[in-house]
Amino acid sequence: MAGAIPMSIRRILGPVLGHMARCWAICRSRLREWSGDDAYERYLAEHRDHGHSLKDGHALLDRREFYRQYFDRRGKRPRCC
Amino acid sequence: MRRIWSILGWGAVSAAGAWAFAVLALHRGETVSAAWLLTAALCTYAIGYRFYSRIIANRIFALDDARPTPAVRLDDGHDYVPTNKWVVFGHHFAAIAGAGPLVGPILAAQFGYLPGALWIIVGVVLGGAAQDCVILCGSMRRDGKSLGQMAREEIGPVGGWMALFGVFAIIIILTAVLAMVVVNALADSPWGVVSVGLTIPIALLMGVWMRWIRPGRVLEASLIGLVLVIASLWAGKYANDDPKLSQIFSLSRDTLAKLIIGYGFTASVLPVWLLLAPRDYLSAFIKVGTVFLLAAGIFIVMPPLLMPKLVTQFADGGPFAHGNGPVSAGTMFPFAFITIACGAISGFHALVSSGTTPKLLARESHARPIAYGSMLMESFVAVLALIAACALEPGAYFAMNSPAGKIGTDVASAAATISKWNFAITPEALQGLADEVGEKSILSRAGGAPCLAVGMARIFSNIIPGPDAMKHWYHFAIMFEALFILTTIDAGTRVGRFILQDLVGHVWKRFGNVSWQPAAWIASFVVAMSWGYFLLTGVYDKLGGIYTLWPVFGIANQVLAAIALCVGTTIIVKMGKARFAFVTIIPLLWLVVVTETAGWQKLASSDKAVNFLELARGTDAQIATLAAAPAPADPAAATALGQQLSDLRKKAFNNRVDGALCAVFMVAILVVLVDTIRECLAFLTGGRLLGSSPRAPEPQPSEAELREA
Repeated sequence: MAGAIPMSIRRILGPVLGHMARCWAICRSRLREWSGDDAYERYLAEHRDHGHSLKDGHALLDRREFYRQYFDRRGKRPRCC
Repeated sequence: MRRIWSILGWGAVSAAGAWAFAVLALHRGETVSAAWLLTAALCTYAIGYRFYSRIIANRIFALDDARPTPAVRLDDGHDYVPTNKWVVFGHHFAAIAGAGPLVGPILAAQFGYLPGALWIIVGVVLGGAAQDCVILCGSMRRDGKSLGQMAREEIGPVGGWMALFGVFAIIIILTAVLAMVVVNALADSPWGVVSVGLTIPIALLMGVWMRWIRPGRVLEASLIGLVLVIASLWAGKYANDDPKLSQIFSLSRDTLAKLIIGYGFTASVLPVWLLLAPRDYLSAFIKVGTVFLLAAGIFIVMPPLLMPKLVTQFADGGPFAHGNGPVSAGTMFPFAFITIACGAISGFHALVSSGTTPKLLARESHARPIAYGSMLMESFVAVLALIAACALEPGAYFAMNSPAGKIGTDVASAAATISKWNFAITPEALQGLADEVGEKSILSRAGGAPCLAVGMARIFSNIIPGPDAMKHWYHFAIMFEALFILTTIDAGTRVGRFILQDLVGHVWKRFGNVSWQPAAWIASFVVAMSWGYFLLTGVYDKLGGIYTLWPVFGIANQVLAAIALCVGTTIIVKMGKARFAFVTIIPLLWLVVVTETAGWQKLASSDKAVNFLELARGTDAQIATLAAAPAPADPAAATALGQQLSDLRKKAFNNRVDGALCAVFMVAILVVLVDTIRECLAFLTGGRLLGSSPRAPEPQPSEAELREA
């Protein structure tokens, strides 16, 4: 199938598609960060890197408990008119 | 060479903006294209961001990326988290942009498109965006302190208490007014009730999904929610077309108001993950998506503005700009500047700028695009709403936004009344518009939501036409607005509950514990009943609702903005940058003049439609006349008379409550202003300070110093 596409078109399309894929990956990552979809992964990474998420001897939170607390914090944010 | 290009480029932007303003102001033809309004707005925003925000960022706060932000210094992975600039921008914009920038401009369109447009565009550059930016920078330099804490520390304890009171009062009135908008949009609309009502089980399902089925899969749950929300539009249509279901879901304003009060209370006591958080996601995605869709639609269609630039004359002889407008009472000055709060300047934003956002900034320089930039974006949303409203036939606009007490309850009387105001419209045209959007009536749906929905539906159905396109787009727009208004209602009740628990907690410590369920229930009940009271007064009063409540909300919001600007001024002066304090002093003085004038007119105007106390006295006179008349012999007539007397007594009482609130707001702003002047003078002359903050904020350690430590 790949052979059916002329080399010249592949040369043009390749970088364009690559660029689009990179853009998509960035957008997706920002969207996940904005929505909190990747909050637990970031929490684990933070803990791994710095260990400062464990305050007062508390154990590392599991995914379910982490998100319960995460949503609770979201609920305290004011929403404007 | 680069400098020359820059001067030429910015000169061209300025010239284009000035030309667009000139066309808008001096145009004498029938209509003017929305393109001119968009050009004026975008050019002014560009210049404001490039030059004015730079004064705040560089000259006042000297934002420096080498200085670690609270998110970097105090990073705990929970509250303080260094976050990508655009992600914080998204959070901040989603938190500040609600129904306000959509509703206010639509109500202010009764004065014509020009006053609202000028206030939105100029007000945001010199006022709203500057306020947000100063408060965000101030809070960032104080480890993310809240507005109340900053007011206490910078101005003194009185300022702190006033800020807390202002926040609580605005939450109560804001929630009532927004609930009123939903009530007016959904009354006798089975399609709207079913599609909006279904968003509650959809949110519950999303909550269970994110908590138990697939913990934390926010995007997955949001996608499911979005698909179901679109499906609920068809469910609404099915209910509308089915005679039996249509009857069941045709709810009166009274019933809807009680249901919404119950909803607010329930949402406040339920766990956040179950209802509030999923609804928040749903509304955030739909809000951002629809705003982009509306912007694209307006750019493609470029509708002409059918509303005159200045609505100055009504056929009844009274100049319209002198206070006899049917949408909201009061003269153009000060009420156009009270009616539009969000979009130009909003005190509520100071809560967001001093709450979560400063704890997420990864670099100091991010504060400028996030605070100033997202406020400009919100202002642009307000411009879009103004265009959508002004692109409608003025007759239809006034039919939708005037209360029944002004235009009557049927299309014939509404068309006759509105035509007398020099906006010719026929009963057939009004009924035709209702049929076009699939509603029984479009009359007196005050609050801006239905008007915006019709405007949006017109624009969208021009791009994607089809059978019933207007009906579907209209109900999509209604659902979109109701969805995020309900999110503001449940978040508002919850935040109000926290403030109340905090206040009472000073006296009864256990009550301040937010995890203690009895306190949570009592506080939620009190808050829901407080805004519910104002909501019900609007529902029962024929001239009430938006006509009466929106100006009170506007005054409350602007008072909070003035308090925030007082805090900002004190911060700037205490930084030793008093020569740049004009950035906050100009909008502060304007707001003091506007709110004090509006408050005074609400208490002492000779115009009976504006003055709450006059309204109460007029109602007292009506009560006296009715009570003095001989009692009817017919029991049914006697019961009706008793009911009428009871309603009038409630109305008189409500008007006095609204008047008392205005008086309290007027006093609050003066007290904070006097305290601010006193504190600033004390600082400049070396006198005794009331605030507990040091004479200049402690310099933060640099990154190098931190690394060394």
